[in-house]
Amino acid sequence: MNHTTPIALHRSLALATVCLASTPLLGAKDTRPGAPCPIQLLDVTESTGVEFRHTYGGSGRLYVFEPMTGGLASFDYDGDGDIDLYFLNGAPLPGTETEAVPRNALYRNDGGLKFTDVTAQAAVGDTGYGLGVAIGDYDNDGAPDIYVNNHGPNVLYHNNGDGTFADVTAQAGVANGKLLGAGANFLDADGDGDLDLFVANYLTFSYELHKVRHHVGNRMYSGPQWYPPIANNLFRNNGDGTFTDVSAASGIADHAGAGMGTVCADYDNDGDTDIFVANDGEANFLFRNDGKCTFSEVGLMAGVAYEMSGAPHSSMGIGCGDFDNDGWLDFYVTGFHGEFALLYKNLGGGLFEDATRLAGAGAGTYQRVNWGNEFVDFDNDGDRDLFIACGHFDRNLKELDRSLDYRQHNIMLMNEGGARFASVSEQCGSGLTPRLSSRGAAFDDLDNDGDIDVAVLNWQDAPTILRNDSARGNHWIQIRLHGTKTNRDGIGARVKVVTGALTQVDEVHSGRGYQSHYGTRLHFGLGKHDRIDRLEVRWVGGGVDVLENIEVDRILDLTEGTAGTSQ
Amino acid sequence: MLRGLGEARLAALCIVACVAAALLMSRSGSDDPTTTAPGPASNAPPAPALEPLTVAMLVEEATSLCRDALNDYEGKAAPCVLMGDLQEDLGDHTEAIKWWREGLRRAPGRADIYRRLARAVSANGEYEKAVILCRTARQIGLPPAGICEDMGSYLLELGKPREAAAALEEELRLHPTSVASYGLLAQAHSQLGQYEDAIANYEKMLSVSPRDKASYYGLATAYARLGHDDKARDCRETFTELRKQSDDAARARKQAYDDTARMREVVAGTHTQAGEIAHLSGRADEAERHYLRASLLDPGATLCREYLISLYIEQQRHEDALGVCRQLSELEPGNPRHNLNIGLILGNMNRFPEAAQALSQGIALAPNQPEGFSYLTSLLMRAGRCKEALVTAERLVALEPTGANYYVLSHVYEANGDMEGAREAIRRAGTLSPGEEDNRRAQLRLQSEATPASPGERE
Repeated sequence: MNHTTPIALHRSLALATVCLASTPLLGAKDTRPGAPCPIQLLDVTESTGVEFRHTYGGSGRLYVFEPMTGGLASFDYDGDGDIDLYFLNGAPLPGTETEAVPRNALYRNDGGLKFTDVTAQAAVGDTGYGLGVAIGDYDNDGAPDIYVNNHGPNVLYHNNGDGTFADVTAQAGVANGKLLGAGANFLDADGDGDLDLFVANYLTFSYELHKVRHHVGNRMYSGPQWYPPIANNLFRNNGDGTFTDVSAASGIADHAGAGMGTVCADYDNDGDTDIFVANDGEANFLFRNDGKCTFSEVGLMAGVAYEMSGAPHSSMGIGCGDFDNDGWLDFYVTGFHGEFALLYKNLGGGLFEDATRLAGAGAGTYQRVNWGNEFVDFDNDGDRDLFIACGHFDRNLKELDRSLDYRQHNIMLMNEGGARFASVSEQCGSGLTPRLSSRGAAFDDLDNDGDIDVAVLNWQDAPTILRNDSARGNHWIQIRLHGTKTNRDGIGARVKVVTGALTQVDEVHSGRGYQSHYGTRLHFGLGKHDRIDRLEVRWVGGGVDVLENIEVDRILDLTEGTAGTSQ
Repeated sequence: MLRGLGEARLAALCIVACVAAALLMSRSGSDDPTTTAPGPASNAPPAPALEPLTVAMLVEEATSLCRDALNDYEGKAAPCVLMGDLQEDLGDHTEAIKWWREGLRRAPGRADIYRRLARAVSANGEYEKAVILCRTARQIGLPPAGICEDMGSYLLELGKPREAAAALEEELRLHPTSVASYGLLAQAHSQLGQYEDAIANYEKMLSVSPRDKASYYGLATAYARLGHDDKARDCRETFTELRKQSDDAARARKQAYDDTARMREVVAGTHTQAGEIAHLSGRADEAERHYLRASLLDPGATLCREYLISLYIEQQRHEDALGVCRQLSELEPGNPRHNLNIGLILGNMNRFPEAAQALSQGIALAPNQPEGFSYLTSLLMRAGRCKEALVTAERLVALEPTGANYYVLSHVYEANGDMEGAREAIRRAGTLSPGEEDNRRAQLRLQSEATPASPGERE
């Protein structure tokens, strides 16, 4: 290996740091089949009171977007300290007759993993064809708002702070026409302290362009290549409850693709928020922010546009986290049956490499269609595992091959440390046994017991709620950020947690995974460390707060400017 | 003179090299004895006009012919492979694997079936199983081309670049024409961080396949890792352009996709394969029916037509063979092989001026390929046009300086009365191919003709 260049030297140093930092405190993990797995997820759906049932609204005409619905959000809508759930729903499409009008649904968390449907009271039961959702306090009034990206006009719900919402889409100017939506994100693109809005679009669709694919005489869904690509939109927050479409001025509109999952993150550690768009069957976009809301598309140069051999990927959802604890955020992009989900390891210096195969991060994904996913430390051992929601959509797959089914198991890949993953799907409890057609997944501590649970939206079915029952004994901390000069949710803020030789980083993202939202409250597993040596928060567009010698095993509220600060 | 010393061998080799190459590249391999024998002209009825066909009808036709083959060739592996290949084309991997396994049970030495199974399980992401199947195939004698390459690609997917590199290097050692292995080997080196080796192999890949997008992408990555930003940028630009062209073409193909047309291609392929089985079993009439049906179902198919040419030549039906060659030439006007085949067949029919013209057309399409010059030299010599043959023979050895070609040149020199040239050429032939008995005998003969008689002998 040639170590004579700065980039190669930097990478070798980064690798050396990874090897030191990611050494698991418990030693090597035993992932042999049959071995007890520290990660355990229990399916508790039936006891939660969640009665939502998703519909895709189809009538057999096989519109291309029918399989793509949809995402869900986990967030504390009423500020009572526990995480609530918001499920997106489809809507009747041409040719479909229905008695009850399907709506999105908001479930209030009453504690103990019990939920109550408060959709009607909250007035958030949008009847549009829901695809993506993002949560963010766009007006900085202390209450998180909801943005729904639809097929058709989008919706912005303003949180009134009293358990109700108001549809302010028209006033805000963010309906975005009648486009076919996908993921959405709130981000402070220009560092001015309020949240701007990124809206991804899937493709240029009209019913006149609709096509059905035939394969050996079977009618099947067509794909994005049958339709013209489309650009995404960026709306700048004017600070007065309205937004201005700056798609063209920002450079976002210069690039047309087939947007699906999106995440806004500071991939290059330069203090501003960039945007990664998963494009279905085309080059992914990585929009690098110059800090002033002007974006350059650098996906190809960075190495995240394609997979290892330069072929396009059927990119669906994006997970974002530092899986190898080297201080750089990595991406995990799910895809279609017949290809691996891809792990893009951040090398620093603006470069990524497709590390899927070397890390074993594609295990089980080849045989399935993969959607929602995320890096989550399920067992609190200090490194981030991977959960992947799976499910096909051609319900006549059995006509081709009797062994195939559109309902599929989800996947759990445990981080073994040393930048390797191992599949433990069959060893981590009843949570991975259901065979459904899963889409968006949300990851939050729904019962406030210190570990991350999972909520999954299943296509044409009830959701799945998984309680994390992983082995106790490891420490953790959750951090809830409150911006004052910067946006109230701390969206875009970078948190670094140092415990002994282990340094972990994470960011608050709005909109992530597969067209979903979760994780506003950051979670860190700490292994056997029973104190945090140092905690830094870098606020986007703001300063840095530092705390030292922090107690663990709690939810820490941290307000901007109240800790020891440094510029 | 050439005519007495191997014309028949050369002519036969020329025909085999071109038109029978398709049989050697057969998908099915063979566990059945080859009992072909030239026979009388076929009395088979002409193929009917193509009737309107639905997908269901086409599937039934293909399935039915596979079932017939299973009955007609009871106990043989070939019809099991035929049925398995059809099921794979229809998307039923489970059924395909079942039939291939049955074929393997009947013929455990069929390395090509192991390869099929490996590809099927790899399509399901089961790369470890695929590697085991490839390793088993390798143990059956000399691994055919592609087995080690496939294994290398599976090992890459398993994140084992070192083992992958070893398999790919073996592929290239055994089968230097397996050019795709260069690209995969480059990926292995890249995964190992051996970027200079990666670059070298990508360059080799591009030397054979200059529009290979993956190689440009790989080069861009490797150059970027080494800090050669300008070269990385140039490669990215080339990749982007090639990618766009490819994506646009793929988009157009998908939008124009016709399921019925695709099924006709699948069924044509099944008929072609069934024809091969019949052909290799000596059932010429049956083979011809299958090849003709395939041609009718898929007017653009070339393999069935190549097999048909081979069949007609075996049956001495040169006019029929010529007609099919001309069809291929119209389907693939840029492919010099068809012009060369036309020239060879016309030469066998003693239609020398037409033959020379066809061969010249083939040479014009591929002026740096030696085959055309080899066949034209042979033809000109048979026609007694020795001076013209000398020009083509010299061009032949310039393009491909092998023992066999110097042997030909030697005879051409001799035919032109240039004995010094003949001796020098045969000497070179002997140096390049020292074990060749023909070269040795020719060299001895030419040397003895050059040696003056001793005084005693003159008296």
